[in-house]
Amino acid sequence: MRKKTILGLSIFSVFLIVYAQTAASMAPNRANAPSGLTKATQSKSLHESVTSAPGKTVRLEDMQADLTITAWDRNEIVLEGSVEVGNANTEMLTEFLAGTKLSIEPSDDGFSVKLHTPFEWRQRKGIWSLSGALRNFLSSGKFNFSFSARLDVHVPSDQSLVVNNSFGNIKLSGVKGRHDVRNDSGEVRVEGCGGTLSLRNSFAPANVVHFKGPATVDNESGDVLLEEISGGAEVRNSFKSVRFGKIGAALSIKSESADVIGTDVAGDCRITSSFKIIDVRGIQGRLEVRGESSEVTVDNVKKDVVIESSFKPVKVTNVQGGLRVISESAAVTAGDIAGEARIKSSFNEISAARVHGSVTIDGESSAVNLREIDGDAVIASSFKEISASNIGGTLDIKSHSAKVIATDITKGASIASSFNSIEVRRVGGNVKVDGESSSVLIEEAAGNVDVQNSFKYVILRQTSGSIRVVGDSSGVEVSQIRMLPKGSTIDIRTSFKPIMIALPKDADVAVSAKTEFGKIHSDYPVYLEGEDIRLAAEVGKGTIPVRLETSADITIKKEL
Amino acid sequence: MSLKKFDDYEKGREQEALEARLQAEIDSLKTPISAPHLWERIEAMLRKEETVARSRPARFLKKWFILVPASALVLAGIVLGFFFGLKQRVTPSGILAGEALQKIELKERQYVQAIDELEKKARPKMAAMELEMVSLYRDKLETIDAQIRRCRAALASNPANAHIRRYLLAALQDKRQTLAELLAYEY
Repeated sequence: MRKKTILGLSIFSVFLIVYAQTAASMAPNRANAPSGLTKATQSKSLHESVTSAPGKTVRLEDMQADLTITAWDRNEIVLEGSVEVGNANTEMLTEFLAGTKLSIEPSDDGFSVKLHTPFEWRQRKGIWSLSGALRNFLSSGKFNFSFSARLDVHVPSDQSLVVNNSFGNIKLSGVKGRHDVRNDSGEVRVEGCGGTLSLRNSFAPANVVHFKGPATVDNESGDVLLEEISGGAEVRNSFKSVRFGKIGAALSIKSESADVIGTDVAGDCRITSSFKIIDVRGIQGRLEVRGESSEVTVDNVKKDVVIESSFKPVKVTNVQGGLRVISESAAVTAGDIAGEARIKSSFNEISAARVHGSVTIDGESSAVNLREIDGDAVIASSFKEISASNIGGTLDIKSHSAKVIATDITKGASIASSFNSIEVRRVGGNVKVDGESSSVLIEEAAGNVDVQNSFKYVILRQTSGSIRVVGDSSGVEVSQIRMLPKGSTIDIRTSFKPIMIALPKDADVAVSAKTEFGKIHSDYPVYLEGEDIRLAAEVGKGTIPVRLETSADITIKKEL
Repeated sequence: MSLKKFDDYEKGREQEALEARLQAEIDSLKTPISAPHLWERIEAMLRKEETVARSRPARFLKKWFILVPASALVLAGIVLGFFFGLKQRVTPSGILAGEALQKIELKERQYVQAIDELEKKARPKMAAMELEMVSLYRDKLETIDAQIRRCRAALASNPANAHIRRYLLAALQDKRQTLAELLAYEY
């Protein structure tokens, strides 16, 4: 019962509110009534019409009004408008409105719509019917007089439009033709139109939706929205956002300091902006983005992607062509790239995963992280950690002062770094490491191993080819050698630090070990040579030469 | 058989017949429905009815507790409806009424003052900024200044036009915001 009462009262209240609104909206215009505070205003309704024909051009030029232009199925142009004026002097208002006219006149290619007001008198000095007071007032140039106009235009649907307006909003709907719309400081909305569109506006949004044909929009300091444009589109704007969706052909956007966000472009797409977000998805063609200091996000592009940017993060995913990023001080993330990826940045992390082609990274002071690369990987970087895993081709790293971790490299690996550790695991080919002041760990290398380093330990495990280590004050430890193929060699030379090597028990080696100040420990029978402490041992057929040289201890073990 | 005995015998037969009839009637009845605590429930209902009867004035008040706010709601609805309805009628005019014009002119003056203050602070900061940012902010401020000039030129011959006033105010707001952004920029 209580619920029913409350519900009933609520419905009654809503009804009363709606009723009150309706009643109020039907009340007379109080703004027209002069009062102590309210400036006197008067308005005048205008109406004109003319019979038109298909393909005509309707011109509305030198306008300062809110314009609504709508297509209809009649072969007639109908204008309905109102003009409102305000001033303290009601007599002057009446006279001004009496001199205000709407005209539609034939022109070369169609019709020209004009709104004549006594303001024109100032320019043309031709309307002598005006009273002296109004003439003097208009001549003085000191206005306390205001004017506002609204014009609804109905045109046949296949008319072209030439509109030149300022300080008013424009709405176009359903008209198909060659449209040239110029506006200044007023919103423009073009909806359900077709043909070609050239739209220029400023300081207010320009929205084009459901347009059949190509569209060009130039909007200084105004937002731009393009949605469902069946042709190509070209946009120029600044400082305000550009949004787009479902563009039927190529899209070009040149913007300055504006967000550019959109999806679904059937053709190629070129975007230039700066300092704001660029977020583009679903491009059927090629994509080019230039975004100085812009955060760039790209997803789902059918062809190549080229990005030039700086300082803000770049994220690219699902590209069916190749990728090229040239950036500065920007974090770059790339994933699921069908072609080749070339990325240049600096001072921020570069990360690429699931690239089916080769990858080239140039990242000064950038951390680099590569995963699941089907082709070759080339990395040039410095200072920050480099990590590469599951590389289908070769890996080539040229860095300095960077920690390097490389794992699961199908072919060979060549790594240069310094002052930080280098770890390499599971390499299908040769491994070459140049690590000044870097500790080096290499595990499971299928090919030859060649290491040059200084001051830090070199540890090699489970190698299957020749071993060459040239160290400077580096300790060297070699163990769990999987195999020493025919023709392979072991050559380990260092200074001031010990060498430990564990040889396979059935290896055919001829060992030569030399130390200046250390001791030699060997599981093999040895004999001494010369003045240095030198050891020679031959095991099996002795076909694989093993040279070990340091000024510290040498340990030779037989692997169990 | 003595008469007394005969009477006793007759009484006995009548008694037997009566008992047999009663038994037959009992047998003809259906099994009674089980209703445990029936009396307790009846008593509870009776007590509740008594309580309800006693609290009739309270219920009456309770109704008022609903009706009064509901009526207030209705009244507020009517008032707000008329207020907003009438207010909406006043605003669609393209010409600003005197008081509104004064207010908007005051607002513009406030913006201009704020912009002057911010510009004084921004000038040395701009001098120290990197070239790209200087160029960006200079471009933006020049564009806004051009719009302010355009609006002022239009207002010179149409001072109470609401649309132009709105765009001038928007440009001033934009300039103030841009200068504030510039001052907040960390380089």
